[in-house]
Amino acid sequence: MQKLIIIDGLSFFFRAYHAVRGGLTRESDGLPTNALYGFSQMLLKVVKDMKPDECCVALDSISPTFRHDMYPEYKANRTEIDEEMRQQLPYFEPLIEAFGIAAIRVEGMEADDIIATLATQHGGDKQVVIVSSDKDLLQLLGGNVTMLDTMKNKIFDPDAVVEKFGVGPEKVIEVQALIGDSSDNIPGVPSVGPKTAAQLIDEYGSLDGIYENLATVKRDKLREKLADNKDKAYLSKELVTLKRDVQLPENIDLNFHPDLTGAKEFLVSLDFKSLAARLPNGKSAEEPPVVDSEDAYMPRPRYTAEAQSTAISTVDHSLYETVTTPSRLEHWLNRCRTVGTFALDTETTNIDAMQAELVGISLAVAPNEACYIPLAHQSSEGDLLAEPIPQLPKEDVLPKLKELLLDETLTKVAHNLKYDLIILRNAGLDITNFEDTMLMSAALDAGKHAHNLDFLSVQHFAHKMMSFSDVAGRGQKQVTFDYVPLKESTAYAAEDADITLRLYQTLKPRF
Amino acid sequence: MQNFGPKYVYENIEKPLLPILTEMERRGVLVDTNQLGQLSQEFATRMATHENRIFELAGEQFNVNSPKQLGEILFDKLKLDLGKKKKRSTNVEVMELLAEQGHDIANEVLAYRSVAKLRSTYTEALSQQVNPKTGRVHTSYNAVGAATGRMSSSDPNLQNIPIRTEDGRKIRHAFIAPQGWQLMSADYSQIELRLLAHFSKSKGLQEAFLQGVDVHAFTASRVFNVELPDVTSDQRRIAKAVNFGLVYGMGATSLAKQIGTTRVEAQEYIGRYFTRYDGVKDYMEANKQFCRDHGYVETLFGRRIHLPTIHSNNGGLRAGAERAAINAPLQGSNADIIKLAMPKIEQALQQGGYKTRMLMQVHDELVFEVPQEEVKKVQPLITNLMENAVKLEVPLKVEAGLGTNWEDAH
Repeated sequence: MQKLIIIDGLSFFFRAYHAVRGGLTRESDGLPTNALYGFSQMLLKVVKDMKPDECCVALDSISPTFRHDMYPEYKANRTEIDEEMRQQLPYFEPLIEAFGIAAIRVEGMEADDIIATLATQHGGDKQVVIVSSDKDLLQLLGGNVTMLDTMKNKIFDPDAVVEKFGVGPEKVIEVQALIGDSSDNIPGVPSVGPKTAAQLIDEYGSLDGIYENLATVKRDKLREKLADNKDKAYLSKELVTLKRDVQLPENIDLNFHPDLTGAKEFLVSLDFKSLAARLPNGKSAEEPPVVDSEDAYMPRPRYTAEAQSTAISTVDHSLYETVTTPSRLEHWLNRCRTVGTFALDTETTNIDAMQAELVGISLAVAPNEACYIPLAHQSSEGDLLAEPIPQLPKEDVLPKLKELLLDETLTKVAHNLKYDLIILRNAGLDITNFEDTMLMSAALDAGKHAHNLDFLSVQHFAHKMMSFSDVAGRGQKQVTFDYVPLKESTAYAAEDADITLRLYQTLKPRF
Repeated sequence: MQNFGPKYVYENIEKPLLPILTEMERRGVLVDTNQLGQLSQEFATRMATHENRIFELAGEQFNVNSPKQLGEILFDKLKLDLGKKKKRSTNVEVMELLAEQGHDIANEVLAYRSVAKLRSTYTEALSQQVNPKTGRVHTSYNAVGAATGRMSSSDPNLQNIPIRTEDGRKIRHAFIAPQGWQLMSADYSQIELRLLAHFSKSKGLQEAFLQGVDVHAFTASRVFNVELPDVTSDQRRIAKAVNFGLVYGMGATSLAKQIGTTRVEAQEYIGRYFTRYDGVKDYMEANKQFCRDHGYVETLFGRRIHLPTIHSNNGGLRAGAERAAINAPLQGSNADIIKLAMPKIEQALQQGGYKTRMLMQVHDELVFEVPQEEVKKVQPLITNLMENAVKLEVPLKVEAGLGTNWEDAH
């Protein structure tokens, strides 16, 4: 099936403005570039990872829309645009243009209506992916139409709609009509919240159903509110209902043939060099070797020297190895000695280093050539029948690591080494000849942005690292790292070492 | 001379400091949990007093911690007027404004919040932060917590304990030395002003430090045209505010507010300051220009502090960057200097076979745990190393004090 991607342009742009922090600016003139950066990242993702057959960006009308005619207060509560945002707006459409992607704008219509029309026209015979996080678009989902929030990497389908609103996509507008939307100044029925609204719609099926059977609503106050605000409810429904029959311009070319040269030049002109380098026709975009999944824990074919020197090859978690046998441990220790410069990271039970226990250590010797050595992982609690976790005994591994870390001829790289060093010293180890990429970044770029590894990975490699909660869970259900299964532990821990080493190779030449 | 710049900062300042900070964190510091418990109790009592006073003024009881309820009391019930400009809010800014207008309830709210904050972040939290294995509190440093190179710390945040207030003193009083040991606090005196004298090459300002006289009194004698012995305490107070204000890039308006005078008069003081201390104004202007040209400013050792908003179209952001362009080189050089001194001290203590241990770093200050019998030797050793960490055009001065707790060591 053909794939059509529709990007919700401005709403994404504004969201990027708020999501990308850290004072990104263009060096030559100080132009703030955070929203442009976030938007470019998304475009890259679309171009590189999603490989659409057709693609377009929907834009809002410049003049007021039919909704303003219907309800003058519509979106009247929007505050003025920040100055730092206003400065970026002139570059927004040229950026889309530079990527060779069609931008569609229809006077009097909002981007949402254009998206609704396109999704309706093409959803029958194509896979339609809407790139947005706007809940107003959820009414369009179903069949071949899904929505992707690239920033959270979350896919919305009808099930996700039920989870969010308590009803399916076809009933979303009924619920929205009741609860309103303060961000768009849509009134709804006062004091009716999402839960009550979902219950009502679940019971009566629609606004019409509610008002036809109003007398049967049991809660007195609720019934009164509904009765008093019938007009508001129906107006709200009209406002949230997207128009699916917008007259679109005739000669739109949806076919996707991105102009990568133009895109690259534009990204470079905004100082987004690492993003530019990620474009598919870039020299450094060699795909990592493909391997069978069964083979995942076996040694890999290595990158050429040339590829190693670029820190921007794709991060591939499947290439990492879990080290559980003496011979594989020897292999990795030897690799560290052979390459001479390697990165390490410790995994522990606590972010307070003084209360933390060492759980495992990861090592990286080249991009994607990284491993994790589990030392104190546990079977899930209460599971007496669980197989013992395959891991080497601490007392065998630590003396070997100690020797490696004290070898002055080898350069050891870590990010925020102080934390690891507390752990290592408390375990009787120490380190010589080290480099710390957090301190390197701070010495080079103080005042420009943060220096935590997650941020720097995005900044330099446009790569979003796995988060701790991805592997350890969230909130009450979060477990300490020793309870994270080895496969996930390896992906998470080895990635830290991998990115740290890449960062070192990227930052070092700048000194 | 060595090549100063990012490489120097990384290789010669940050890297050697890393193992030192590691050890400081591992050592931790002893706190007196009994004292903290009592202090917590005292703070709770005071919170209750403020709360009762608030209820009296409000004419009813409500949840003071709820911005909604507080807002309803202040703006709906008491109908306090914020004027046209300000939005209805219960934030510090608005509370201070109301307090200025003479509304006691706002004063009480501010007092309540400040005690509540100290109670929750220090007296309550510190006892819980005692490590069960070591029995000590291990703060965590971020060597590059600020863009200027100044460190920050967390759990507990040592940087945020109020410096000059009675409550701050009481909290520091609970940081103690073990039996038979003393805590020693050594801090750089007026280091940013000394750095300003060094960078600006202002003969006037340098003279104050070279003569070793009280720099604020000296400044007052210059600004008010009186002989040094005749400077009044009020004149000294104003001169001190000007000295510190300018280091932070403060303008006439803020200074006027600080010393309680008119903007015109404050401008007059600043003008006289710049005339008497030739070179200071040029230095400040040069810093701003350097920042506009390069996008960053530099410290003594070439640490670069980028200030991207120096080119912002937003006047407020731009003015902020200009102020930072004046202060960041001073604050950053201060950080460079203390960070250079720390490994030297650690090494000297080790080589001398001393048991004395460096425990904490807060702004311009280092705190040590010293066995009673080492005090006489270690105090001059450390003071000397700190004062000679770098050679400036004016001397660096370190004041060291001792006591059985951190407060008494000040």
